Amino acid sequence: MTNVDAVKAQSAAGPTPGNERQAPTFKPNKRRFSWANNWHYLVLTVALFISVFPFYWMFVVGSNTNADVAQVPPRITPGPNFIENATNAMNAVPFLRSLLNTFIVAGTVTVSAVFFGTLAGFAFAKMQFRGNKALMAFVIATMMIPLQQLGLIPLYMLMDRFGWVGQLRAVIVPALVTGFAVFWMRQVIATSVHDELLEAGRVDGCATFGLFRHVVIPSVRSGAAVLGMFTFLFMWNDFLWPLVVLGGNQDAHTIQIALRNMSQTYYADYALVLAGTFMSLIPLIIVFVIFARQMIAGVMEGAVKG
Amino acid sequence: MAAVQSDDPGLTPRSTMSWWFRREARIAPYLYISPFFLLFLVFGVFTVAFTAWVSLHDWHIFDTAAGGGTFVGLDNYARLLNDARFWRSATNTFSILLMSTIPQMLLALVLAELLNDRRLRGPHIFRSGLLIPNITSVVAITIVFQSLFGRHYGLINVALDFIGLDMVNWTSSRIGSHFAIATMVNWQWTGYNTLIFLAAMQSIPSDLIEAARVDGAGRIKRWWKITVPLLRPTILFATVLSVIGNFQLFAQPLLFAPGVGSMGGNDQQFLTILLYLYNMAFRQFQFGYASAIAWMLVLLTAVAALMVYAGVGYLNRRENRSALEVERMRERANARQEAGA
Amino acid sequence: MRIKWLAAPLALALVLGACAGDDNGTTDEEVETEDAAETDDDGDDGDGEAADADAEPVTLSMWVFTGMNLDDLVGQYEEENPHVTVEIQSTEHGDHHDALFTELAAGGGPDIAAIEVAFINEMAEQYQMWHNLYDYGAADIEGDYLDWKIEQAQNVEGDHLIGIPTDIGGMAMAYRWDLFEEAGLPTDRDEVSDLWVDSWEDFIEVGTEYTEATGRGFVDNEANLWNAVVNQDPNTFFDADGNPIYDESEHVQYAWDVVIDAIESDIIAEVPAWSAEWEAGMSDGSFAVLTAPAWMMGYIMDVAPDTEGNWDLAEVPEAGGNWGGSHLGVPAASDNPEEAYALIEFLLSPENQQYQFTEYGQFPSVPELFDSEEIQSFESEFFNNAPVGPIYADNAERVVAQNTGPNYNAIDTEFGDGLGRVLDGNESPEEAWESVLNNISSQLGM
Repeated sequence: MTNVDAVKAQSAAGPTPGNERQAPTFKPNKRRFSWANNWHYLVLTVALFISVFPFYWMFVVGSNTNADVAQVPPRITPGPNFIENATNAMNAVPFLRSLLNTFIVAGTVTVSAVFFGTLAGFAFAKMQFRGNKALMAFVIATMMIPLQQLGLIPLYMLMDRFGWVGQLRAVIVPALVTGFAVFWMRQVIATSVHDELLEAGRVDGCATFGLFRHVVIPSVRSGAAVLGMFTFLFMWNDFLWPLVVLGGNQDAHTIQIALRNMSQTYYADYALVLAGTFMSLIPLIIVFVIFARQMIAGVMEGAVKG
Repeated sequence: MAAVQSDDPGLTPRSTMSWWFRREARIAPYLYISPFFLLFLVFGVFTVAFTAWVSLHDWHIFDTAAGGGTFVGLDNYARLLNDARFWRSATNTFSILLMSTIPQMLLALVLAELLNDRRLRGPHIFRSGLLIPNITSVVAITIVFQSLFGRHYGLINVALDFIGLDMVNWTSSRIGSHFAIATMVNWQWTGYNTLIFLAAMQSIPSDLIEAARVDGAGRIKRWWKITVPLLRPTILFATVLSVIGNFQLFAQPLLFAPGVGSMGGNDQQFLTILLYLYNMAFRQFQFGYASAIAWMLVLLTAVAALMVYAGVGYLNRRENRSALEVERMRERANARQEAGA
Repeated sequence: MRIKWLAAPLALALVLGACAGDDNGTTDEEVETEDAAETDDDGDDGDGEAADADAEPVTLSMWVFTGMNLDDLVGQYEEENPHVTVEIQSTEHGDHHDALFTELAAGGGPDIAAIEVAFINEMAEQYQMWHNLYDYGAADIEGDYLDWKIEQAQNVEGDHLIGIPTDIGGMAMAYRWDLFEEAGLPTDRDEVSDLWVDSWEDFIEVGTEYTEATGRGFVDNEANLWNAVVNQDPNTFFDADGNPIYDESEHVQYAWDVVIDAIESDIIAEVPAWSAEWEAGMSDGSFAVLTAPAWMMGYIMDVAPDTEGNWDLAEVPEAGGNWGGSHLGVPAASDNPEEAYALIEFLLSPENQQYQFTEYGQFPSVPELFDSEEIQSFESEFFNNAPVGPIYADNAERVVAQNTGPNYNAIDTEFGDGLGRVLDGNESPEEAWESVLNNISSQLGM
């Protein structure tokens, strides 16, 4: 039997699973439920459980007393003490101050990186100038260098020279625009800004910045939002450099540094530490719940583009 | 990097434009890209070059104000080659890398396969549930897992005890601490990689998979023989990212044993290269030596990434067989299409 | 002066009672006497303007490490000097010193910073990073403090003082008499002292007996035992001139052997110092003995309040020793050195050091207090009414200050880690000793 025959035979035998896939009227609940057909739900649910469990556990420990958890078997359900533990945590370190600092850092960097990234991305994607390709290759190359590690010591010396040690700007300024932001926005602009629009704008008498304002910015909103989310998350969670340069000055701590100090000082008080950790994640979880779809799309698009 | 290239720039200066527009269009792009390059010049080029310079000196933190350390040539690098503690940190890093990257990639490939199903109900719940660990901060992750891996009352040891196994002293055992740290990495990154693989799977032409099915290949075989080989570029990309990320492990070992073990344990059992660098620079304040470590870290990262590339290249050559198989199936699929038409 | 001393027991009684609240009848007197003392001090120093009510408002930043417990006194100072606001930043011991070095190197730092004894030598070598407290009147008060504590904070020439001493860490052994009873050991503190005061060998023997009887660890961990033994002699890691002798010091070798002996006798509870299990262990009975420099008392009371009355104090084997103790200094970057110094002088005044001892167990570095009635008659309910005053005062007379030198803390950590490797079975004692020496020379370039 030839291959073609085989295919024919298969087709004749009725709808293949592949055809089912395309069929819009397919309704799985008409079939009887069986584990053999749905085992993948079990696997995925277990994966989901493992993904979410640490958050639950944070809350369990953070809402019980240490004695409830430091016993065998430990309590594995939430208790009544979360408010108390969280209050203790917020008094143990300058918690709200650190949250505010983190908002300032992440917010400033996000706005700046998206703006300058879009500007540079516009130039790279839509303008002809000498060195365009070479400079873009250079930008991509910079993304490969682990700058934070390689430059850690001179960066510290530089901040020392500027008098910025222990100040938020030491974390903000080096991140104002990154190679990643330029690269990302270049890709976004190349695909979502149409040349005809630019041409029309030019005919209307726009200079390049006018085109940037009236044509580019309105067309890249969603791509820029994804970049903004990633930048915000990255800065929110950044640890090594803030630890080095802000570590001394408690007033300038970001939330990660505050958390670290909390766990280093109150390590025996798990209820306090985990309640504080849980609190520190609430802003992120809110952002995530609102933007989850865009974030997932961003990760997946990034994969295809990358 | 499949860059999307616009070959028809809409902004070519043309003779019909006024002098101002032409001049503006010529200067503007340089202006627009200059913020990045200026910043990179100061915080990138300068710092990288200066790291090299400092690494040639015996340079204590207090020497900075006095104008610099004493020039010692390559002494710091010579010291590094003979520094048992550095190489211990390197083998630790490598061991954690293996314990995280390999299970993570396999698991992500499986989960992506399961998610790559249009009939799947509630895909958004699964996808966002898997991604949420990735947005969590490493500090928070380490704090939680460090409590889960606690010696006496940590949930994991309690569970081990419950099923009749011995409790493990996760912080003092070398392999145990590597496992714990790798678990944190896996927890954070498996979901992210799942989504990356899922995206790549969705772009595989369905006729290929279809052809394999027609050919009688079961789901596991289709996954392993068709999907995974076709995903190779994506897996390569994810693996290289994972390697680079593992060489930057810092918060996990630093926070793994709060109160004790900030040097990575009394036997340096979970000291990583970056933690060693940090300890040298900001605890011992030996800036010169720490700078040499920084260069070595970058070198080792590059070597490891190249090894991944080389390994995949080797696989590609050796497994042409698999590509042939794919090709054969494509032919069959084409044949089927023709037959259908 | 006398009036002040009479007030102290009263204050103490208040503090040791449930709370030092606003019970008017008794506090009036106390406040009055303290006010009087305060104006006295200011008059003596001739910088009374710092305490003027209409002086310019000033905010002082102050960095200390956890467990220094200076908040009460700072609060009192702020109340008495309304123009002063103090922002205290309390960080874990190691992190505090790392951050302090980093800030000082960057030409920054707070107005007041604590320096623990393990780091004092490195700081004194970098004395130009600190204000010279002699410029602000430290010469008038330095006689109050132990000579060796002052010397530790001076530059080589002795004309630049970077810090005023806080407490000293005279040693005793804290033990759980309830657990001793269970194990059939004597519980009375004199009898317990007699068991082991002659030698560490005896101590280990008692430990073996305890462990055999109970199946539990006797002493908390190898690192704290090491600290207790190694700190009993001045010639540990450095000789009197500051040259490193860690590899040939007889005492270091001796202390090493004692701890190895303890490890091999299986009396160590294997709960790492400063870990969560260690803190839990103070309550749950994982160990029965804790090497206790004076400040450890406050730590135990803080961490294991439910064991009140179950602890007691005995003498340390072979007597003597000092572990810990700090200085407060003013980094050169401070713009308010006069105000900062005034606060330090207040915080570390003899009467306030006495307060810190009775409240938090930090033993004063002021010799005139050792024989004072208040110290001599001070007992602690928490420690089963042990006469902790005389115990630590007696010890303080015999304290020998270790010679200090650069990287003191890092060297100590290497030895502690080496002993930990022996305990965990990763290395034999001989291998560990070799690797410790190798690590010190390769890590620190010494």
